[in-house]
Amino acid sequence: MLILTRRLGESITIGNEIKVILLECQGKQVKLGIIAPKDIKVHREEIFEKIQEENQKASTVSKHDLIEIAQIWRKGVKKSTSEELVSSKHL
Amino acid sequence: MLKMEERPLKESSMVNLSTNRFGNLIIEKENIITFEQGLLGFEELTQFAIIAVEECLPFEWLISLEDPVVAFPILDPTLLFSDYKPSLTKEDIVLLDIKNEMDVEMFCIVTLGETPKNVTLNLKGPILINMKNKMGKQIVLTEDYYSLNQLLIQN
Repeated sequence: MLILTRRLGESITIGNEIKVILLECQGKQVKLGIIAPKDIKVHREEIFEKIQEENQKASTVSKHDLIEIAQIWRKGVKKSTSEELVSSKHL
Repeated sequence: MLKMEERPLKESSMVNLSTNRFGNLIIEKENIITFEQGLLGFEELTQFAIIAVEECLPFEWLISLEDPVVAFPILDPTLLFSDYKPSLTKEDIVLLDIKNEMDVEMFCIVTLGETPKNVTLNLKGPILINMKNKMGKQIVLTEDYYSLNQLLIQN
């Protein structure tokens, strides 16, 4: 692993197109700014772990339980749009 | 003579899979989906098939051919969110060799909570499948409004 020391406001570049700037330091928290091309995805590491956990849980769902869910579904589940999803998140 | 040749050809185009949850399955080879990178947490499994069990519809199952104990309940997310259409990155397009976005089908994995009513849909990590070449990938979206645990049943 390459380890670099940076001061506030300084940055590092990765390749030609990615730049990481140290924006703020507060106690144990560090705020980073990342400039990267649109098609480079930047994620917090935890999101991968959470999806792994979800996958793990999903992989053992029983047929019986899914049949039950399908029955509830058929009784009627309301369709939404992402817009409604966004607005409900802001409430 | 022709018939003799036809038989082995037909047999070799099918794969038999014995499973605990679904009994014996016969899967056509052309329906096998390859996930070169596996799924998150299941990187070692690369061969899957989608199976539909009538009582489970509209939910389907993404079952591993290498380890049939592993089967994920999946749902077409547009059944719930009609305009769910995350954008594809260049990386996804190259990896799945996507020539036309219309060839791509998207599914989300369903997870159960404490009770079946607490069932959630993972909108954050959908599964993309290029139906033309049967290549698949689980992607992770950067959009904040797509939840990992979207409740499926609101009331």
